Amino acid sequence: MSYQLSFTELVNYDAGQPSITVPLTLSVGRTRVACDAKVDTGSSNCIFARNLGEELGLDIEQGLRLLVGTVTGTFVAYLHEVNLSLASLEFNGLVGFADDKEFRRNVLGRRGFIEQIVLGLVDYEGTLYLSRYDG
Amino acid sequence: MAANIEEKVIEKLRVLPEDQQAEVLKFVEDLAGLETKALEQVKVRDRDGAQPTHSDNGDDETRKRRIEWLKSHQEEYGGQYVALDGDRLIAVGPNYRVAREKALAAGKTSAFVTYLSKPDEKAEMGGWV
Repeated sequence: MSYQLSFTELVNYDAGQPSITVPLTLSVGRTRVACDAKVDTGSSNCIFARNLGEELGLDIEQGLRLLVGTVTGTFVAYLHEVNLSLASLEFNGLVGFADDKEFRRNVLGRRGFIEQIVLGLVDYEGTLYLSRYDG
Repeated sequence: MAANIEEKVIEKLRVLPEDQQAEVLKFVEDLAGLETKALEQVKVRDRDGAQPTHSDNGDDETRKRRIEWLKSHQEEYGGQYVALDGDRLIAVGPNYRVAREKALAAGKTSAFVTYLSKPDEKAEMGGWV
């Protein structure tokens, strides 16, 4: 038996890097900020560096507080409603901005991103296939 | 041009045997039904004032009200997915799919669907943090 999926977007990434990192734009209203983010199916949420939220004009602490557990401990993030643009896809969702200014990772997890898409991955070729789930 | 085609179709229908005429009429009725459904869907979208892009996060005021709604309903709906129209609850579900499909069934094609964590819930991060 074989299974087929079709996708509207193809994103190339550097397969020589330790993570699947893709270019992304965050926006709130007309304010936009570009960044790179790691696609992480093991993360429940999308979490970004605090400075990106500040550049978007968000009052970080006014978001919905979220405690995030890692293998070494916990940290606090605040969830805000943001638009994510990747390739020609655009999503609206709640994403977290770390409370800690030293937090520099940007992660695309399930809630707010993966749950809204159909995702295909060919790591051998460094290609990520994406479509909005509109079924 | 359209009238010309209609005349030709009617002309051809007239010479068909009765059973085939009935078959063609049923086909036309089915087509009309599909067209009506499509028009109803367009009307629902027009009424909502948005396409089903899930990408419009509205104005500052709407976003602010939505965050306030989420904060004040964590005890009640935490651990579930909620679908909101502005800051009005449309549907609740155990996952994104169920909440979204309930919202769509309610005619809300551009509802904001999100997971609402419980007040004491700890989110999980993968290997990058």
